Amino acid sequence: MQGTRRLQKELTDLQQSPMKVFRDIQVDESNILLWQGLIVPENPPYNKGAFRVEISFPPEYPFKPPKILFRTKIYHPNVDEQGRVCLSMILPDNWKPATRTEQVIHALVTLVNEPEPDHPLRNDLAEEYLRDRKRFMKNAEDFTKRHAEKRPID
Amino acid sequence: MASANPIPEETSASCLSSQQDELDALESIYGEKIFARTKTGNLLGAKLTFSTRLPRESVNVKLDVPQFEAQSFRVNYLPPLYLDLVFPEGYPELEPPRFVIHAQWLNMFELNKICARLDEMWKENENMIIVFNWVDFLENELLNFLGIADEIDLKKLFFFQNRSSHTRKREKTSEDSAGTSSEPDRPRDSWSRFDRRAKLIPLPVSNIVPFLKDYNVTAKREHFENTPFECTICFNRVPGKDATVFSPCGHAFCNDCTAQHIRTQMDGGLESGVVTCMEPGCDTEILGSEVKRLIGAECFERYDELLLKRYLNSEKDITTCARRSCEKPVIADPSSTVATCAECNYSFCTDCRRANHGINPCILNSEAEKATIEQYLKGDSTTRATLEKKYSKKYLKALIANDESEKWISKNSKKCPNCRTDIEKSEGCNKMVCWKCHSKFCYLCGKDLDRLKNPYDHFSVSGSLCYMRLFEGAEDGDEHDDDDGDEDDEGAHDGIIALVEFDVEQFLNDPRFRWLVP
Repeated sequence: MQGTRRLQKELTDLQQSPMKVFRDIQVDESNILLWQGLIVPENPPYNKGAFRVEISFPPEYPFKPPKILFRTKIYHPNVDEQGRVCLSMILPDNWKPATRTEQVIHALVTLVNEPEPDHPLRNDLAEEYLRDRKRFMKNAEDFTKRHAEKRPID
Repeated sequence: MASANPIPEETSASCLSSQQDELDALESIYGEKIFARTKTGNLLGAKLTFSTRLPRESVNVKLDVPQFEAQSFRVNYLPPLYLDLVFPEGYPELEPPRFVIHAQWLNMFELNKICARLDEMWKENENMIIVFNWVDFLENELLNFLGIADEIDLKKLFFFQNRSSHTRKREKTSEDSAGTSSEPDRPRDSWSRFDRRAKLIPLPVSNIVPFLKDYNVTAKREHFENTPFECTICFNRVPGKDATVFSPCGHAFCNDCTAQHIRTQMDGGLESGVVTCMEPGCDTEILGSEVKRLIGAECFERYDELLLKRYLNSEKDITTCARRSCEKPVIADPSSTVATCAECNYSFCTDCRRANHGINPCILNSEAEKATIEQYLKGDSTTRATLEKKYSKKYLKALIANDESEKWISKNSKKCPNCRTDIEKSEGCNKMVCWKCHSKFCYLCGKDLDRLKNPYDHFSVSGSLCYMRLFEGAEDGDEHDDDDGDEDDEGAHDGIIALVEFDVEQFLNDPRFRWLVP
C-alpha cells in the first residue's frame, strides 16, 4: 500500500528533525495509521502544559485526509468536549494530497496557540474569548494546569 | 606539414593505435548521443554534439537591434556545440587534430577566440591526445572563458548572420573546411581575419529568437522526461515521462497517484467539481484530456457524467428526467411542479417524481391513501379481500412499502430547503451541507444558511433561533476509535449526510408482514 510507504517516510523524516512544539511521536508498530504526539504550545494560556493528540490516517491516505483528536482535555474554542477539532486544511473538501503531516501538525499547533473564535466548535468558549478575554485566559490556564500533561523538560 | 615530410611508417602505426584508443575511450565516456565516429578518406575522426554548462541555472538572452523589436528572455538550455574532428596521420605524435566548431548562438568573434584557445591547449599538451581536454573545456568552461556571466547578447551574431550569405558563397569555393585548415592563400577581406575552422550556421535572424526559445522548451521537457523526480504524493522516484504535469501551475505528480486522486474524487461523486492539482493552495483544474489518458475512455465517460450531474443539481431550475432509463436534464419551471422531458416526453411531478398527477396531491401525501393502508393493515380477511379486489394486492403492497419508507425518512431526515432532497444526519454538528445541491442549512429548523456570510452565525449570534445549538442532538459518538476508515471518513465537523432508501425487500421479509407476500 503506497500510503503506508509514504507514512513511514513522513514519520522517519519527522523523527530525524524533531519539532519543539510537537514531540514524543508514538506509533504502534502494528498500525502505522495511528499516531500519537504531544503538542507543547508556546502561547499562554496553554504554555502551562502539554496536550496529547491522536492523528489517524485513513487507508486511502494520502488521497483522503487524516483525522485529529485531542486525547488531553483542553479549554479551547476550536476543540469540542470529545476532543474533535475543526482544522480547515483536513476537511474533505479542502484536502490536498500533497499536504504533509508536518504541515498539518504546524497548522494544528498554530490553531492551539491562536484560537479562531469565528469558527468555534464551542460557542460558549468562543463567546468568552471574545467578550471577556481576561476571564477566558484565567479559566483556560486553570483548566490547563488541572488537566494537561506535564511539559517535557529540556 | 604532413604532405611535406612523409611520416615514418612506425610513427604512423603508433599514431593510428593512439587514435583508435582515444576514439574508444571517447565513445565509452560520451555515448552515442554525443559521440559519433566518422571517416574522411583514410582518416579517422569524430563528430561531437554537446551542451555547455551555464554559469547559473539560467541565462538571459538579449537581441536589441534597430530592425527588430527588442527582445530579452531567459533560457535554461542553449543549443549544442558541434565539434567535427579529423585525425591526420601524424596525430597525436606530430600534429593536432583538424577541427571545425560551430553553434547557432555563438558569433564569429567568439568562435575565433575558441579556436585560438583550442590551439593553445594543444600546445600546452603537445603530442598527447587532446580531444577529451577540448570537450571538457567546451562543456564546462566556455561561457566563463567568453566572459558571459548572465547575458548572451545576440547583436554581433545578428551582424554576422546578415552577412552569412556572403560567407557561404566563399565557402563553396574552398574544399571541406576540416581538411583545409592550413590553406595559406585565401582572398583577403574583413572575413579573412576569422579562423576558417569557426563556422557560422546561417540562420535568418528573425528565426534565431524563436529557435532559442523553442530549443529551450523542448530541452526542458526532454530533461524533465528523462530525469527521475520525486512524486510528492507517494515519495517514489519516477522518470518525468511517467508524470502528469498540471498547467499552468507546473506541479507534477506521478501518473499512478494522479489517477488514484481522480478515482478517489469520483468515489465521492466529484463533490468538489473538476479534479484539481494536489499541491496545497493550488486550484489548477485538470484537463479532460489528461483524465481520459489517466483513467481510460470508459471511466472518463463516467467522470464526465458525474460532472454534468453535479452541475445540473446545483442549477435550481434544471432537474433530471424522473424516468430511470432516461435521466436526461429537464428544464423545470420554478412556479410549477410539473416538468416534461424533452428527450422522452415523460411528464412528471418534480416533488414526488411520479407521473404528472394533475391537480391531485402527490400520492404519498394523500390522506386517502393513508386511510386505505390503515384499513388494509388492521382489517380482517374480508376487508382485505375487498380492498385487494378493488386496488389489486400488488398495488397495496407497494403502497405500504412506500408509506413505511416515507415514515422512516420523515422521522430520520430533513428536507434540504433548496432542492427538497431528504438528508439524514449521521454525525457531526447541525450545520448541514446537502449532498445534492450543496446548499447549507440548519438541521434543527431547516433554515437555508446559504444567505449568511458565515453559516455558523446561525448558531453563534445570540437572538438567532438556533443560538448555541450547533451540536444539539449530536451523539457523543466514539467514532474516533474507528481508525479503519470506513465510508464515514468525512470530517466530523461538516456533518455527514446520507440519503435513506427504504429497503422494500427487507420490509417484505419481516415476519410481521410475511402474509403480504403472495
